[in-house]
Amino acid sequence: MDEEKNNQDHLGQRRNSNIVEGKIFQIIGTVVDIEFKEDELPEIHEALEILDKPIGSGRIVLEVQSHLSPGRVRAVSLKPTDGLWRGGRVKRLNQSISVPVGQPVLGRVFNLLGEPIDQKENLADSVATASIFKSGPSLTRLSAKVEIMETGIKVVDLLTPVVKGGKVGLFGGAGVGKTVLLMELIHNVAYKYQGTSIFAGVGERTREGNELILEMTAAGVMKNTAMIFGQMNEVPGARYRTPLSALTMAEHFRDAENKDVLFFMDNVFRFVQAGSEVSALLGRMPSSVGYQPTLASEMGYLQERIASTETGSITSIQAIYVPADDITDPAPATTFVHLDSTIVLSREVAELGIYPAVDPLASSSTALDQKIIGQRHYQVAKSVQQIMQKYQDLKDIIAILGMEELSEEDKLTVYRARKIQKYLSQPFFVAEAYTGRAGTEVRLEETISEFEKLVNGDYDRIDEDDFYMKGVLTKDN
Amino acid sequence: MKQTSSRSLKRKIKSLASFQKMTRSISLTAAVKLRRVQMKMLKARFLGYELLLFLKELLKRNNNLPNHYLFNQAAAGRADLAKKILVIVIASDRGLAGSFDLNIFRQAESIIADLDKSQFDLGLIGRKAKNHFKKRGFEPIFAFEHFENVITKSDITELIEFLKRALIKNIYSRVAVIYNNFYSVLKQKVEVVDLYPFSFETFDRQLENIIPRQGMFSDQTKVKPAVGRFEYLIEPSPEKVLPTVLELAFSYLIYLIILEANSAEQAARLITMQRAFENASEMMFETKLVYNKLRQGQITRELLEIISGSSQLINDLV
Repeated sequence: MDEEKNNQDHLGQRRNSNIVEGKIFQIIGTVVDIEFKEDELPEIHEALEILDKPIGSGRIVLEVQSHLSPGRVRAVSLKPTDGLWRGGRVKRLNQSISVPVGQPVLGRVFNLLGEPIDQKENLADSVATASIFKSGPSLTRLSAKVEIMETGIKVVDLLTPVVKGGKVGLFGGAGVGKTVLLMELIHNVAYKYQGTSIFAGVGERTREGNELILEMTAAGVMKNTAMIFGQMNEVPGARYRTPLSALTMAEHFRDAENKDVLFFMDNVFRFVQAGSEVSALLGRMPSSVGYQPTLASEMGYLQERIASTETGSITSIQAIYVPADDITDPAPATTFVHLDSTIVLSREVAELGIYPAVDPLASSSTALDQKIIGQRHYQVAKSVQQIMQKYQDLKDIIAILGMEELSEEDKLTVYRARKIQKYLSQPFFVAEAYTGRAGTEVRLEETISEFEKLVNGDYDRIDEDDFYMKGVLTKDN
Repeated sequence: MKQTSSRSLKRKIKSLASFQKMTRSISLTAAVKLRRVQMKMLKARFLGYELLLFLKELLKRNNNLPNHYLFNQAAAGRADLAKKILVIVIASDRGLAGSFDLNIFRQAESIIADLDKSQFDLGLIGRKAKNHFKKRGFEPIFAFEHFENVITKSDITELIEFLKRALIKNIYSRVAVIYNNFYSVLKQKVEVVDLYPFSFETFDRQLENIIPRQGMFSDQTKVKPAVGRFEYLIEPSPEKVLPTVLELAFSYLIYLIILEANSAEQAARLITMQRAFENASEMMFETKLVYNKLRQGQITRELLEIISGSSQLINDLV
């Protein structure tokens, strides 16, 4: 196609359908620079669609990220840019990326553009859509009530109680069981509450999403669930926007339908990582550890929107990968501050074969407060932490001098701590296939009384190994 | 996931260094003390050996021995259930000797576990023993400290006088001593010896215990086969000689047992501290490795940031 003719076509088409078009003048990976007429410059975050694309590829949508020089914009592609060419035509969509919202999305699986990817029929055109960009609820609308949500997982309920309408983060390095714990929480919470759930799969394995769909369908909760995936096979731009698309659907249920929504996200780190990739491609100067300079504001924008109002709530459970087991890495460190409950999974605990490998000392929750969980629960949780802290302090001495040199109280502390550590393990429903043990769910009341007995010494005579992978000790015996 | 900062690692390395210093000096001191007390103990074994051998042979050969309070029960042949048992526990003052004290306590507790509190008295030697049993609510009949290292006979006069008085009053049916017997630097074993009543078995067992099987003097002391079967002829008379010999043997055995325990204690401390030193060194090595990795990582990261930052600036300028 010669350029003269192309230009004519381009102009002609524009006049006829009133569609504003531009031309690609540079492609760097998934970043595409496009030239428009100076007075037709698209806004930041406006969506663009490629018109000249290889045969057979689906819609290619771009999002404007910055203005370069008059008439020129830099946009990030949300689809692979293979096969695009300089001079290819791009049209303005005159709106930002929008996703369908409301009841019709339940039971369906989408990509970040709101296109169904579950091979079922397309959504009707009448389905309402909403822009994925939106500010968080205003301060005055935020809900101030704190209520505990039982999860049936001992270590979570005892040490890091989950707040209804709050944010829970599961931190962990590679292979310590973040996804399994998240799945178990979905199993226990989503199945029990039977409310609306939104699942955002960001940059993780496609296989895991598939398993989750099958499992939720089998459990009959898929009809209340919408899933949005931008997994690791997608381009960075897609992974970067998937959380927002999912969140937009959740917000609609909260604001328009006044519902209590469960929002699951796996994995927040991939969102940061995608942001970092995009940032580098956009030519921003990398900040500490090579992350994008806008890390904190990107995270803040996402997390501030996950909030609960007086009329509806979003309870979010997020998995956060910790690179190289270093929790001080900017990505997890930036996420920390936004959370109500922090569940830290530790490799040391996982190496002992204790699952969920929750580190009882590094994990915390704002709900661990006498006024919220009550005097008894608070006391038991604090004693457990104290014993574990003492054990941690004594570990070096034990490693050097051996148990013999410890005083009698210290020895007792060590024995109890080892029992507590073992007792914090629990067989999971979702891991039945791997552990060969039936999953258990423990009521909060039972959890508290069991650990109260342990710290008070009622279980001093029971062998340490008997506590391993048990739901409730006395019931099992 | 441990939050490691270079500062906390530095602090750990420092404390490990002082730990190394401490354990090393304790083990060196223990080595010196061990040599001294071991020499003394090995020498004391000679007299103890001769005394025990003599008493053993005497019991075997002579039938009509005069009555003596140390022999009373031996003559009767069985313990009197109405009377109490005295359990003497010899532990250390300072600890830091691995399972030295722990084994003693375990043995002592297994003996008194079956007994009612009215059936036994507890005699304690060593501060660790005192603390241990006080915490468990036992009131000892006596508790001595500072029996460490090389002791002289005058150090234990009080103990021996107490025992003699008690035995003359005939309130105990049995006196059992629990202590760590010294076999070698690497091996100590908990022994329970019945000091009272004086019997053939006591002598035989103690003879076995004090004969060095290896190392110094092992070739000099061997159980000599008894020659002849005749009664010993005691001059001027058994009544005059025997009490002196018995009391000497009794106090000397206690003295020897304490020396054995002290040698064992120093040996145990030497080994324990050496092991602790090795453990601390190993930990030090690992901590240093983590620290260096962290430091190097930080340097690399900073370099990377400076380079990428400056190259970006250069790009912008050009």
